[in-house]
Amino acid sequence: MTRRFFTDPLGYRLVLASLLIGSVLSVFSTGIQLLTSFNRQKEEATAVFTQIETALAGTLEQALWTFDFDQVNILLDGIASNEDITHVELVSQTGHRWERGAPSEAPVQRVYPLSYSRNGQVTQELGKLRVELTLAAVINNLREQFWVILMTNLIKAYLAAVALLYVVHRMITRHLRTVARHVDNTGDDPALQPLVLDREKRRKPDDLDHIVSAIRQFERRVQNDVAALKSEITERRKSEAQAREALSVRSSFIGTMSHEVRTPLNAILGFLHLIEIDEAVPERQRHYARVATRASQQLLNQLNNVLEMSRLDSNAVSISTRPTDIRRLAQQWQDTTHAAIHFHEKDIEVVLELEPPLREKYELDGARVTQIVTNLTDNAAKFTQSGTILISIRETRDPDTNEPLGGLQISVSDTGPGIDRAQCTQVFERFTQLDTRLERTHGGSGLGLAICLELSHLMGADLTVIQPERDGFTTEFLLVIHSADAPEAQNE
Amino acid sequence: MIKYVFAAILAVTATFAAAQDRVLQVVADDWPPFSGPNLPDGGMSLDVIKAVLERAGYTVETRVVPWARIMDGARNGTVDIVGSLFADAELAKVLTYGDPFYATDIQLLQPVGAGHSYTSVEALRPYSIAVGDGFLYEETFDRADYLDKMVVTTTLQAVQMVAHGRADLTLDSVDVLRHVIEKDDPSLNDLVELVPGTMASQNLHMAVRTDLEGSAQIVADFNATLAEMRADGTLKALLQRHVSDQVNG
Repeated sequence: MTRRFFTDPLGYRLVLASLLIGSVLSVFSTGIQLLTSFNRQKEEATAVFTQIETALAGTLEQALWTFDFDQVNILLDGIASNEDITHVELVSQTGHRWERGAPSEAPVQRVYPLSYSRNGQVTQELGKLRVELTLAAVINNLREQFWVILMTNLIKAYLAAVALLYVVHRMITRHLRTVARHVDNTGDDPALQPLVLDREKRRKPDDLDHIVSAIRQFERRVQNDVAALKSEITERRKSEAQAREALSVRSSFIGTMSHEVRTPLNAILGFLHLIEIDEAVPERQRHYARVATRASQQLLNQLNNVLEMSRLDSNAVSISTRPTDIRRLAQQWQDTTHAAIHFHEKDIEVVLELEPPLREKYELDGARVTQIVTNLTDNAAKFTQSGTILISIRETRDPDTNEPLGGLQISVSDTGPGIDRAQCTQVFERFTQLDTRLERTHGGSGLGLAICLELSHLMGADLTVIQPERDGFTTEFLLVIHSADAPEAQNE
Repeated sequence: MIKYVFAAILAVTATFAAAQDRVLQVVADDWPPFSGPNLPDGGMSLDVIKAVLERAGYTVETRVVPWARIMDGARNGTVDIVGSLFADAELAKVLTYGDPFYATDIQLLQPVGAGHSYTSVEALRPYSIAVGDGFLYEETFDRADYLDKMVVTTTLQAVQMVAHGRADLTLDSVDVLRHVIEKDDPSLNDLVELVPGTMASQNLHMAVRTDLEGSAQIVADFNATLAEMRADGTLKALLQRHVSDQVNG
């Protein structure tokens, strides 16, 4: 314990701080003691003034009054015999003067006005007695005392520092070590070793008791929390297993549906197409086949949408970005839109607008972005009777500085019936169709925009309906991909 | 008869011889000009007493000692003869006075221009008077407790007090006053003056300790020899050595 007591860094710092403070206080205390001693000794030395005043002055006045110069001389010799008195000078009103010693520099002096009093009243001024006192003896004494007092105080301070170190170690530090050891050793199971300090129990708890109490309470809370966490982990593992099982069932269902429904539907579509193109089939039956093909196609689209939404819900869709040629992709979108228009047998102009500057490649999941844009252009082709569908692509820029922000902004505008502003957010809700008459005309499950919104969120993009800025357009869907910067090397 | 005469002569002769063999201790206090350690031949008193006694056939040793020691010596036998004495009833109880060899006037001293004049002791009541401690001036004055007496140790102190206005008056033998002013502080001459009128005229004596063996004879021899010296002018010459201004012996 002794070694630990002296090698404790906290103890060292405590001793050093204590020594520093003790030294300063010692010097201060020495100064106070010397000042007190000086004042006391000065008071003692100057007490001779009072003695002169009380014991001699009256006699001297009487002797001076009666011109008893022998007595005057005796009294002055008596005053001058004090070794601290350096100079005594008596000048009488009658012109007589006595002097003992020689004047000294900066003496402590007292001047006694001498007078003769009779019946309590001063009748005549007799002269002045000046007594000068040296403090050399006092100062020499203080010089001798200085080192003794200083060393005594320093030794006391140092002994007090060491004693303090021991007391602090005994009363505090070793217990803090015990606390630290306990916390270190407790590990994950605080209930194993309850914290107990090697000290007597006190009637009134102190701070260490409070620390121990707090640690015990903390350990109990941790113990409870650990138990709760373990229970929660168990529950979550169970839930996770159940979820995995459900997901598996769902995936299995989706796979089954995908295979079991699509396969016969594709067969139906195939046979219907054969009927449509078979010139031997009468026109009436071929018309029926075209209607059936369209209905089957809608059924297939709805099925695809349901499956896609299901995959999104089960987090089965992932985004995989790579450097993508935006111009080629945009051209593909324009072509697809042309095909959709042709499918709907409408006369609508499709305009592709690539607003420079545009780099060659952007970091995108081209398939998913195409899925969104194609859905938007399909809707535009579906609901627009005539006019224009505009696909516009540009980089995102700071509205104030016009500096590029590293994203890509894709908008699809059309000249269709438009969307009421109050319904702009509803269009992205599942199974929502704003105009049931149109939907009945053009078909649709009400899942397309919901899927687009989910996909945009997956890729960290925003999809909104905004009021078109260009004249003639009634609807504009804006897809903002915030981060689409591709590495320069790949762009080149 | 012859035998008795012879016996008487023998006794006188033996006494005389014994007297001749003894050294008489003559003392006086410091009272210039009558006696003092620094005065010629110890001052007037000691000079006269010694001259008279030696002329009478005695061996004399003179000293100036404090008055208290004189009194103590007179009681314990170490002092034989005391000089510089005024007549005093108390002292006469232990001392046997010889004939006076000098008379001195007791006069008051005042600041110059004070304008006092002595009429009676009673008339001194309004004034502060510096007096020597234990000094004998004049019997009425010495007993006058109603007077405002300021006690000092020496005549010089008393004169200085008068000179500097700390006392209205002082008094002493004019010989003493003059001697003090002349010898100790001549500047006082400009500050003080004698008050007109003499309070008393005191005779200066020597006295022999009464219990001294042969004291009566000594006094008798002194008186006889003093008379001789007064008669032949020797005394006057002696006195003139000490108080040349006022020789009234």
